[in-house]
Amino acid sequence: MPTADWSMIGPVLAVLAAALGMVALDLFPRRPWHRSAVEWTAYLGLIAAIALLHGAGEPRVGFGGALIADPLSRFMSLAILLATALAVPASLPAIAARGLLMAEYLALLLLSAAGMMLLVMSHDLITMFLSVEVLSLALYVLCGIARKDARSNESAMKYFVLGAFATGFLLYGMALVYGAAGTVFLSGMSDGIGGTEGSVLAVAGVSLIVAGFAFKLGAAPFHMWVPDVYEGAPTPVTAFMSVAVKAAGLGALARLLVGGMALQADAWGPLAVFLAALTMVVGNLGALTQASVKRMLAYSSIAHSGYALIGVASAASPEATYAVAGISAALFYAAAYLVMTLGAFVFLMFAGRPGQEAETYDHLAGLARRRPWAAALMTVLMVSLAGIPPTAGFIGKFVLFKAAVEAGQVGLAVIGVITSAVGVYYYLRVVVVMYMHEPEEVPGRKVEPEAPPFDPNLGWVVAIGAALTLLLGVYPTIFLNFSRAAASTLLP
Amino acid sequence: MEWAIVALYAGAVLGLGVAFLAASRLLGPSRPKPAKSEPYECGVPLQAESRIRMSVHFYLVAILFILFDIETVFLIPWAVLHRQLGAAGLLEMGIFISVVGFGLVYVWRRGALEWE
Amino acid sequence: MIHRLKGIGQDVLSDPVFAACAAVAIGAALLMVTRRNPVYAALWLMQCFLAVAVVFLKLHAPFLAAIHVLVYTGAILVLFLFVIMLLSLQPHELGAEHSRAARALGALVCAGFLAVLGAAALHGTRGAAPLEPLRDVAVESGSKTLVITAEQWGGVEHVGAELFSRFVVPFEVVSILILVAILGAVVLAKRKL
Repeated sequence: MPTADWSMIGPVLAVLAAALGMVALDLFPRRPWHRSAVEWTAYLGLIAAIALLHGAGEPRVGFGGALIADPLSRFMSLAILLATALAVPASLPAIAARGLLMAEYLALLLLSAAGMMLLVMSHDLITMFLSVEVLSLALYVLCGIARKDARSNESAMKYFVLGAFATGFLLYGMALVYGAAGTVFLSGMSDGIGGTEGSVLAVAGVSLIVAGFAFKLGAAPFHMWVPDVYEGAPTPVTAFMSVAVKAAGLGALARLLVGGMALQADAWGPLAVFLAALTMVVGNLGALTQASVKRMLAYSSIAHSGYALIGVASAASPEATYAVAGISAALFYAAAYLVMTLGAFVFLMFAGRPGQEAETYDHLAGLARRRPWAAALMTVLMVSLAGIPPTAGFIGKFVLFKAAVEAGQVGLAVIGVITSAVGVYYYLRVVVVMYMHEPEEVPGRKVEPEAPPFDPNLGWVVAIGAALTLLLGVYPTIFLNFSRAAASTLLP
Repeated sequence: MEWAIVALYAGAVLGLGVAFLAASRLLGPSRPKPAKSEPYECGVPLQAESRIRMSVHFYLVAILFILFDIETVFLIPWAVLHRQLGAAGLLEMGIFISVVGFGLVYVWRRGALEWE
Repeated sequence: MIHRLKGIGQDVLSDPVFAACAAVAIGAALLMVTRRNPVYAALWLMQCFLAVAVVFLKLHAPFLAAIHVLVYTGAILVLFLFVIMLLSLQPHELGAEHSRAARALGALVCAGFLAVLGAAALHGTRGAAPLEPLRDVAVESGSKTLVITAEQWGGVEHVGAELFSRFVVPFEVVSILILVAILGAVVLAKRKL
């Protein structure tokens, strides 16, 4: 095993070591500094992982072809590590308030992140499948980690049952693709299949794989689980899974379809178009009617999967430049979506009090008067989710729609613009409620006019989310260059 | 040809089972009565269903058994090939066993192997 | 890097044992999904597993066949039965049957899926080069080369040689997967922590 191979997986090893370290710490007799030791082990692992991600360098395939380190894997690993690093401080108040198992919670969070990083590095179908399983299994448990909360149990149960079903699709599809290609390695897969004509096997396999990933991304018609699971899971878990799984899944899907099955684009292209169009419509219409902000954000996350899939659909174009533009736009959008949605979910905890999160629109009424800063940060996030400049959401949608029009997917761009206009209504409703509504006197629920106690950690996470949203909106060039580099090395 | 032996063996096992059942059915007396179908022919009447909801602890033991069972599956090829694989194989298996072994230590220290 | 498994069963479709076991597997699977009593369903699943194990044998995967019987039929199926008895659901607790329309839709989706797979099976190999018979292969493992003879194909040596060389990353990821499962089982199912 050459040492260069080991340096490829340095970030994954750092995260894994931190996860094991936290559990190990928990097995010893508790000391007063126990909780902070566990917390700092997590931070240390994440910082080490980000430090080890350094060095652009040439794309490198290692470990006998199982893993690849290239700009795509680095871009997505960075996004995943950022989401994890924000999810850890966001989780601590919930862990304390609901009496959750701290070491196991954080270890599972980091193990899930390690699975995601392996997923975006996967260069063969078996590693890809096992990474999906590592990240999913950890998330099933995290959804149900509030063991005495019936909604958390329901969330874990639904996610697990439907997730296992989707895993079946994914595995069956991989088996068929292997049968058609004669190889599990992405290099040589496209040539092994040799075009789509005459290979119903490959087409069936690709369709099943796309369906499996569509489930993980929460794309319609495989989105049914999203609102219930996101609503029932502890909010920091929702914040983490709603962004990190999508980043990892999108990275792997792009690698598999564009990198591994470029010659079969006429098989998966129409599927991606169908999924993108349906997902945008279903997500946005679903979000319109929600009374709970958490459910609204869940439907919003479905809608945003649809937008990101526009990029994948555009990448089916036979022109390499358009394919690069499509994937690059999808990757940038995943990063933009990550910072704004994570911030928005954490805001729900920040706006409530310990043990009682803000859930409905009514809970947010008049928040601007009580907590002007919190309301301002949420406004930034909502404006970005709605796709209004000068925010990340606007730039993301702009590059996506531009890529779609260039690649000839005008229909998708039109659906994207129309559904974004629908989205403006429900995102800005949050802002209107915060700034213009008076807190209602609900019988049995006292509304104190003074600011309730809140955790400053949560405030920092929301603030970082909002700041990055603005940064990506105002100075998108560096990030766009990064995502373009990631997309261009992907093409065979 | 070697599979013919397996088929012969399977046939013998199956045939023997069927033969015993058939012999019992044909030769034994059969006079069914409702009382004979009771779980305890000469006890008090049943008070409740025998199917009760069992402790989740059984499940925990069973799932842990399966997980370590799967670990064993991976040990077999290594055990067969360990001479040829040499130090590299030992290292690879060492990493695997350490990670799963860490899981065992966790289960142990958490007291999940104790009967509550 | 192309890893083409050559020599797998060119004559397998005409093999009567393969055909019989494949038919048993399909029949048992159909009976499994249509049973109302979960215990019967589990027993039909066992029948399906055993038939699939023979199918693996005929596809030159004897190690997989043995593991399939040991792990799936032996351990996982017992766990299924265990969970069924653990929950011990009465018929009225199982809830109502799905509506006729829902079942028709399900059947329609299954039929469409079957048609696609059938077409794939019939046309999938058209134009492909005829499969070569089994032959000796050399598997690179680190600095050594292990020779797998035609008789050892799919056996424990073959699986091991591949597992500890090219597929070592998936192998190690399995250990992480097992660890996550252990953590999850204890976190969710342990009464007192």
